[in-house]
Amino acid sequence: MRTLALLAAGLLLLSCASAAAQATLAYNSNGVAVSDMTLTSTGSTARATFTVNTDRERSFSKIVLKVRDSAGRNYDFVHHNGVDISSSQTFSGSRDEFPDGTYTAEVAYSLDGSTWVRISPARPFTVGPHIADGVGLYDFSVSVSESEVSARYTIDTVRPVSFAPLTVAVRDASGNNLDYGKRFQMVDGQQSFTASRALSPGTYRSWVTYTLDGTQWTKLGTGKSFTIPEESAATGSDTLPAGNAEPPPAGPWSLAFSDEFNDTALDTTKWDWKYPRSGDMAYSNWNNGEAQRYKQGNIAEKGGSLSLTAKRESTTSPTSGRTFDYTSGHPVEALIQLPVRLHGGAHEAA
Amino acid sequence: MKLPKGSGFWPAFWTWLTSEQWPPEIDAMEFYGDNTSLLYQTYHGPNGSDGSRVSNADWTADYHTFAVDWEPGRLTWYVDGVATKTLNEAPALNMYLIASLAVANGARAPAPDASTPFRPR
Repeated sequence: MRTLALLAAGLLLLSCASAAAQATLAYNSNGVAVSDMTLTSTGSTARATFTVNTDRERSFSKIVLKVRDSAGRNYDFVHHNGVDISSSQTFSGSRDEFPDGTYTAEVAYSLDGSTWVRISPARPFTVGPHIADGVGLYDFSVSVSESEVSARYTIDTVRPVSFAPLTVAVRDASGNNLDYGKRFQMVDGQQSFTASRALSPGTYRSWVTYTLDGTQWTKLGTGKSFTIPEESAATGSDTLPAGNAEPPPAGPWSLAFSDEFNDTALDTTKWDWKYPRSGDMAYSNWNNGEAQRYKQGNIAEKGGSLSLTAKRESTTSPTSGRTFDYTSGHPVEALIQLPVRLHGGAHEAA
Repeated sequence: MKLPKGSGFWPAFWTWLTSEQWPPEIDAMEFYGDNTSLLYQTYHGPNGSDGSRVSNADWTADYHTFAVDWEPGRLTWYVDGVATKTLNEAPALNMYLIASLAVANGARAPAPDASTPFRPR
């Protein structure tokens, strides 16, 4: 009976996996699906790429990207006639001199040359205008996975722009600032960004914003709302595995780096206590939500154990004058070589 | 490792590039002391971030071992010797290893509050 039950469970898993794969591609009744659709624009030129998938060999009379402006005017581009697709084919194209505005685009095909079938949800995209700083935002999307939200977007600049920073703004229902994905960097032309963070259950509003001078913020495009669901009770690897054994090395491993922490202080031939870079950023990733300044004195080693201690004590950077409310410890491997296995020994914190 | 309990404590066991390029970043373990039942295993790669959570009644109650097997094209995360996450993706760049105890300022994780058990100076 136990064997039978296991077999049934296995079949159930197989059928679930197969249904999920089909759902991802969303084949229509002709066995046709669109995937990997991207829409971007630079200035007044729009570009599109998409993949047409078929569940068996198909002959298409026409494949087109239907594009309409908000008044329903036709701006179609990417036209293909007489295409045979055995499983998938990727199409791309561009069209110049789009008036500034918001458009929708969807892939459509005709098998017989007269009847049209739409195969993708209509996707909005925006052409210009680049706002005052020459910065444009395209393809801002937000997705939620369990308690983590992820944002993807593309920035387009008409000239080099130094962001200080560019960030994904998030506000909860009470208006609390939960911004993430800060980028202090220059963008020259087009660059895509991704960022993610964990949030508590609730409803949020998110948008892309930037500042060039650290004080005046400019919001790009329109924002999006999303919800982090209450945690589900049981998912996957949620129980702690039994045992406390070393992971057994599979294959030809050799020891490249190790420290048993049996000295009386951090072995500085193996570890540094700050990042290998200059300025305040050697002591703290302060632009990534960190409030501490690392100090060598907050690291102690004794009897096979390394302790990192966080303290509520204010320190002021001698170089920048920036003040940090906390100190802590931060051993950084100093050999700068590739250890093929990362393995945590014991370190006691707090 | 023995992890600390308390809002604002943000320990991690992770890798970074000397070139300051980001991504990639391998987070063998990342933990926020305000929620002692979850720890995070993440690869921040060129195509985005792939993160998983591992739950336990209280991660701060005992010592635990955290490991990542870093092989060409494959990463495997372990907690206490048991594989918890695999990814068919891996950076082919030299990275260095960091064991950090950061203090969050509220932007990415809750900041310390009055109950956070800092040791005396």
